[in-house]
Amino acid sequence: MESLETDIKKIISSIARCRISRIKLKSRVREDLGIDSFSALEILVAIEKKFDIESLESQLVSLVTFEDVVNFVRQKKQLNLAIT
Amino acid sequence: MSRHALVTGATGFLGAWITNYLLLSQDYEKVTVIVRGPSDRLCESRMRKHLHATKQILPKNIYKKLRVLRGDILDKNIGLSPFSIRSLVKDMVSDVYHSAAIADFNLPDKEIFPTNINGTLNIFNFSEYLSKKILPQEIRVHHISTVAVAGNHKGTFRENSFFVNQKFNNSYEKSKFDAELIARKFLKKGMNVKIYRPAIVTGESSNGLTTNFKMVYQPIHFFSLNLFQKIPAEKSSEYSFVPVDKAAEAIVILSQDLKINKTLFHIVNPSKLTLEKFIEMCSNYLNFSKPKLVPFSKFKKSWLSAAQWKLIEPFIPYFNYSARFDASMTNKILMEKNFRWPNINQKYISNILKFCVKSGFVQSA
Repeated sequence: MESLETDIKKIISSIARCRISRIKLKSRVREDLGIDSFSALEILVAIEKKFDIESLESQLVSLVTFEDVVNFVRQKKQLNLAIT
Repeated sequence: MSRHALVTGATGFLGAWITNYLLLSQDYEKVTVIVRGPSDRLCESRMRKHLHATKQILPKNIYKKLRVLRGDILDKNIGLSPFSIRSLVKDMVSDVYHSAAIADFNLPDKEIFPTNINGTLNIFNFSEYLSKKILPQEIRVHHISTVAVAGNHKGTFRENSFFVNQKFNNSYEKSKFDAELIARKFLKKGMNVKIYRPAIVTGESSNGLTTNFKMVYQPIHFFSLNLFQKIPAEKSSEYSFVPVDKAAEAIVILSQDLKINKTLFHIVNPSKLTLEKFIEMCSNYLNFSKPKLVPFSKFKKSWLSAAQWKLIEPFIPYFNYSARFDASMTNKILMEKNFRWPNINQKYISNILKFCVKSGFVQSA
């Protein structure tokens, strides 16, 4: 699971140009990492592509912290596995 | 006659360049800029930092002409102290350049309207107040608008066009329309108002340098990340890029000529670029896969995820753009004054992209 977190951190870091060391589980994407809504959407789309998952519009607003994003990806991946 | 300019938005992308040209102008004895900040010292250093970005054209002694006043266009009397106001009256401000604005397609009304609309009203009220104090000298107010006031208008939008039953694609367009409405109301009241509508303001003509990575830069960013295989876009959508230094130069040239009997100026480069060509140039330089451009009417909703739609939504109107901005009158005047727009070609776009890579905004594959 650590590699999933690392992969997501790398995506966030490269798109939002913030240091990986700044990204903690409880970091709030907007307030703590200073990521604006435009970059947040880019990150989400990049995550969707990387992990071959898709988010619903209603889920977009619930991704507040880095942990939310990690859990969201984990759940989506598990769901994909269950379907296949 | 020696003149005194008062500038808002001087730390902004276009405003910093307008300030540069005003400082270089022989016509202006003094240039006062209004800068936001917690202290006079920080306002001064903030202004110098922004001017430093373009210092290659500024001789060192030019700073003697510059005065930085702490203020905020959101406040009454634009946040100036009574002492600062008295000094502006004493020094007989002749021209106000209002370039302060938030330019972003992604922000909601509440984040854009206060600065772009209320700020404009405050500046015009303040200019009217100054005008009365300085009588009989007349103050000219130069309002920096945008071609985006055309909203979703299709076809030719002329320099004398304004309300053409257009609808607005975002809060930014609406706010700039309302700001121009304010400028027009003061013009009707008898104030000497000039309105300039720049097209898409991009990096410097020689090196692509920019301090603002919003608007046209944002699609460059998501294209460079290969986030889209297809986008709803009309490949023939056409754009006029106005390099920030040339846009500012054009505005200052036009504003300095007191004999021009014209109120509205389209700051539009006749050298145009289609969306297809622009993406191709970006793709060549940054080495990303070009997204397929599919007309909106044929685009299937299921081709994009909810996040992709949300990301691309603010830009769809501009990917399907059919407004044309007639600038023949303004460009005729500029030609007579030996002003030339640069060609928007692969070399210029490469310079823009080179700077994007150099500054870390995008990564080259």
